Parts: sequence; structure tokens; C-alpha cells
Amino acid sequence: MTRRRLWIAALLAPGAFILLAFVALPMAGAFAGAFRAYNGAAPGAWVGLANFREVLLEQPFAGMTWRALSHNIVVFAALMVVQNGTAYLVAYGLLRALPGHRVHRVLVFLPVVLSAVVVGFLWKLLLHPLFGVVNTALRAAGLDAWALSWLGEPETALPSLILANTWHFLGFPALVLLAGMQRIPPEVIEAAKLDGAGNGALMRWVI
Amino acid sequence: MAPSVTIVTVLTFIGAMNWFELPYVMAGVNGSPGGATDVLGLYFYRTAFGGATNGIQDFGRGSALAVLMFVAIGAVSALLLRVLRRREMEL
Repeated sequence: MTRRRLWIAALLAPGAFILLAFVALPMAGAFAGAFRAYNGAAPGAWVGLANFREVLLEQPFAGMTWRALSHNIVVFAALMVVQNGTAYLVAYGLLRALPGHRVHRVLVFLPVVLSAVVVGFLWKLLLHPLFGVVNTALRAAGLDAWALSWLGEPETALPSLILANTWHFLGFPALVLLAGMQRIPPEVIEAAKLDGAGNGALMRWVI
Repeated sequence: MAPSVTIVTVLTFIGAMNWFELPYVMAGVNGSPGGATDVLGLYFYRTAFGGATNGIQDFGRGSALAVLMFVAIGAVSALLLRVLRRREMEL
């Protein structure tokens, strides 16, 4: 029994160490640092809640905090609609086992395993104002007015990032939603179809 | 289906609030152009570790932001999970 426990402890140790060193300790450090004044990275006196007051209430920090938060909320809403909405459609297509669904299941999930850094540079290149594939294609199609500097305009930069994130992460919600759909007994779906439910009704009410 | 929607919603929320790598790589640490892509992840990173253009570095404010993000995301995620779990029961 003790031998077994020793084994378990030995196998847990590396993971626990990494978690402790790279997650728990930095978090504890951040909690402690939040109540301190700093001169650059050099710690100073304890200041209580002054840092929190500054980032929440005092300009210019507060303005940036709320602006950043508003962007986060926009991103969340957009991802829910664009990314997860598309994922729902993709999942339904995969459930229906349309032609080539095995290949598509892999292709849709493939970008999820890529690093966000790779995806970021890839999309930066694709969206390059002069040489990017997107603008080259638009110009070739005669849509010169549409060939914008996608990441350079305040209006299009955030939507571009959201689209890049959607491409990157689409596979994850699609897979989870597909799993949820496959949990529904086939008889239920069969019965709904016999009752005259089309694709739309199936997607709205059954799955 | 409802449990899948719950987990996807909560994970999307956490992902959106902790969004960092993609804006950092594509838009830079200042959320260019003109802060149009500035998100909390970039802002707290910039505050704590200094940006390319703003050399002012403040570990205290950065940590405070990080702690606030942690608490807020945790609280809202827990709330979201509760509400969506109740919705699962009703469906």
C-alpha cells in the first residue's frame, strides 16, 4: 500500500511542480503585488487598495480599463453569434453525415490545435493591405474599393481579429455541439421527421 | 444539447475575457490602431511589463488589473453556469 502511494506521489510530483511554479506562485505574486506600490518592477510600500482605485476610477487608467472591457464584451457577443452560430451549422451538417463529413470533421478541428501565435501571423499575412491574399483576391475581382487596410482601420481591426479567432477556434464549439447532438436518440429525430419537421424545425426544436 | 450550449457559452466567455495572443500578435501590445483592438489582456500586460512605446511600467497597477479580471471572470462564469444549468433543468 505504501509502495503504491509512493508511486502515485512520484507520478504526481512533476505535474504538481509545474502547476505550482508556473500557475500558483505567479498568481500569489500578483495577488500580493496588487496591494503594493511599484517603481517599475521594483517593489515599494504597501498601499492597500490604491492600485484598484486607480485602474477603476482615476484617469487615464480608468478610461483604458473600461474601453478594454467594452471591447472584451463586444468580442464575447460577436464570438457567440459568429463563431458559435457557425459552429452550430457545421455541427448539424456533420450530424447529417453529408458527403465528405469525415474529412470535414478533421478539417474543421485542425486549426484548433494550432498555436494562436501561428494563426495570428498567418492572418496578419492574409490581411496584409498590399500583398495579402484577401486584398489581392478582392482586387482581382474588381472590388478595389473593398481592398481595405483591414488591420489598419479602427472600424475593421476588431472585426478582423474576431474573424481570425473564429477561423482558429470554430472546431471546438462545433465538436462539443456535435457531441450534444449525437447524444439525442436517433428515434427522436426520426419521429420528428415523420411528423413533418424539416431542417429548420429540427434545428430549432429538437436538437 | 443544452449541456453543450452551457459549456460552450461559459468557455467562450472565459476565452473572450482572457483574449490575448491573437490581438498581441496581430495588433501589437497597444491594441493598434489607436486602441481599437485594446482588450483587458493587452492592457494589463502593457501596464505590468511596459509596452513598445510606453516605457512606464507599473507592476502594482498591472497586478491589480489581473486580480480584478480573475475575480470578475470567476464570478460571472459561476453566475453564467448557474443560470444555464437552471435552463437545462427547465428544458
